[in-house]
Amino acid sequence: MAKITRRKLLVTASTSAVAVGGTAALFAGLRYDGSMASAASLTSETANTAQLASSSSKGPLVAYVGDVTKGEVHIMFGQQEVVVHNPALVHQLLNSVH
Amino acid sequence: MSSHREAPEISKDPVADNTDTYAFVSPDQPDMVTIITNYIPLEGPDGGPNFFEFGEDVLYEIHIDNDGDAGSNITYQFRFHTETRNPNTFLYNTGQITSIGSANWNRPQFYSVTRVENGRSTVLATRLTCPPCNIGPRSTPNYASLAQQAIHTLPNGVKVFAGQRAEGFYVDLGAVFDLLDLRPFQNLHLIPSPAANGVNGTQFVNVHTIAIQIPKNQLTHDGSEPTDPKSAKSVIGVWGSASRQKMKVYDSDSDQMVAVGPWMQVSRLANPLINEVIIPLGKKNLWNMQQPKDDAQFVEYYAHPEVANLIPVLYPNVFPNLAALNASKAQRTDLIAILLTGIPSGIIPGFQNYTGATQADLLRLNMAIPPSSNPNILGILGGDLAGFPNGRRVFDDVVTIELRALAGVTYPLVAPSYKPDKAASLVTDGVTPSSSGLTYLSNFPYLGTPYDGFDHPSS
Repeated sequence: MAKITRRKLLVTASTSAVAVGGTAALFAGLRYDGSMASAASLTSETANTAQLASSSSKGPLVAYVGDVTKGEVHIMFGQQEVVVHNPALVHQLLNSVH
Repeated sequence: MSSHREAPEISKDPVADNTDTYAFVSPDQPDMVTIITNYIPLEGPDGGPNFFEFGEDVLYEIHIDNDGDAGSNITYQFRFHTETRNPNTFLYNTGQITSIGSANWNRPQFYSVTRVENGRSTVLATRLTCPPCNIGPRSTPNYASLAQQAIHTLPNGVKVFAGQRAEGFYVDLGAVFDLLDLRPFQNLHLIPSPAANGVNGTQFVNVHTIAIQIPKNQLTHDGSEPTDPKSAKSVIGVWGSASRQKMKVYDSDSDQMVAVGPWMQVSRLANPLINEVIIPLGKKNLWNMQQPKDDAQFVEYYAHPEVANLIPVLYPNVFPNLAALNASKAQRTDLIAILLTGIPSGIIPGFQNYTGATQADLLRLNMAIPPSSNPNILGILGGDLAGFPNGRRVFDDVVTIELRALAGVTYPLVAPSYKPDKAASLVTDGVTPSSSGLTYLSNFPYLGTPYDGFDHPSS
């Protein structure tokens, strides 16, 4: 966990990762290649695709919301898991599937 | 089965399903201990074209506790990597495989071995080759020789093998899960039928084996040679496990599953048949995810085992003393000792495998007990201190041993006035290696040559 800061994770999550779970969980594994265009609409912050492509971090990142009422997002990258409390993000994610 | 498909979740994940764990002083190398963990239950030998292989996305581990706290002091980790040499054919092999380096093997599998001790990891080897599955005489002629090439010697004299083997565990599956029927005694069952010989339900199938042979002094807490059976330092606790990363996603770009997140244990196994018949259905998935040091939460299932309660009901008037013991609500402290703490000194002459008060499902091996020159498949019950529950050898009849223990034959160890029923020392499912025609190797990796898909006896 120490290698990923909370701020970095929040930015990463809000710009690229989407996964919403409620009574029925949905998972979405996202790449850093900017291919998940639909996620960009979730936030006003947009990452430059070239920045992501040049990142030293590679591989999939998965965010999982086990219970939308708790506002917690479990973010998994490599063999790490970080839990961030961000009700606003969860609200945005929910809106994207409603 | 010993631990094949024993819990609802793991029954859907065979690649990560621990089926048996063995630990014994090597009969041909008495200065070494062999530990075996098997995975992938009930492999049909003809199960092509995608024959069985280890999971690249599974962390396979063998754990050793050598200081009595039921934690893992030494862990051997195994990670697998699979290659497809020619993606433009459906064939597992594009010609005869006569050596494990053969380019004709289209799905070669390789693995690494890492030893973790006190949190420090040492990679012992990388890109070790597995043998292919035993396909048939045209594809894998002289399979025994082929498999022999897959035995690798690592630094410090450690030997490893990872690949397909014949199933060595034997049990009358069809009978025991038919309301605990035991064919030799089914004339006495509540729903009787004529007595018959046992039928080995795991005959003619294969498993995937990870076997490691380690000098004893690399397993003791202080690096000493275990020579005194009475010493606590001579006893180790062993278990195998399989873990998966927490999240798995189907990636349509690569057409494969992608795993991320921390490792989560999904299967473990030390003593045979524990999660199978001691732990109830509602706790089996949980049990697989727990660490042995936390097993005190399950002690009530050992203290009042369901099988012990069922035996007198299903075999009326055959086990009156066991029925009375059950009715007394007395705790089965014999089973708790044998399976959760080890047997202390003073109970069985010349023997102990006690690891302390921590209740944990560990396969406890007293490494100072030499291999038997005349092994008895009933292990300690048969007067052979080198067999189960002092570790477990590949041929030990763990079904009969545990049936008899559950039926009360071991209760006098803690309550000398208890008189077991006569039937308790006779009860068996009627399956033995000789009755099933099972053969084992006399040297590493000890489990027999896997059945081939072309001409195995059930074809």
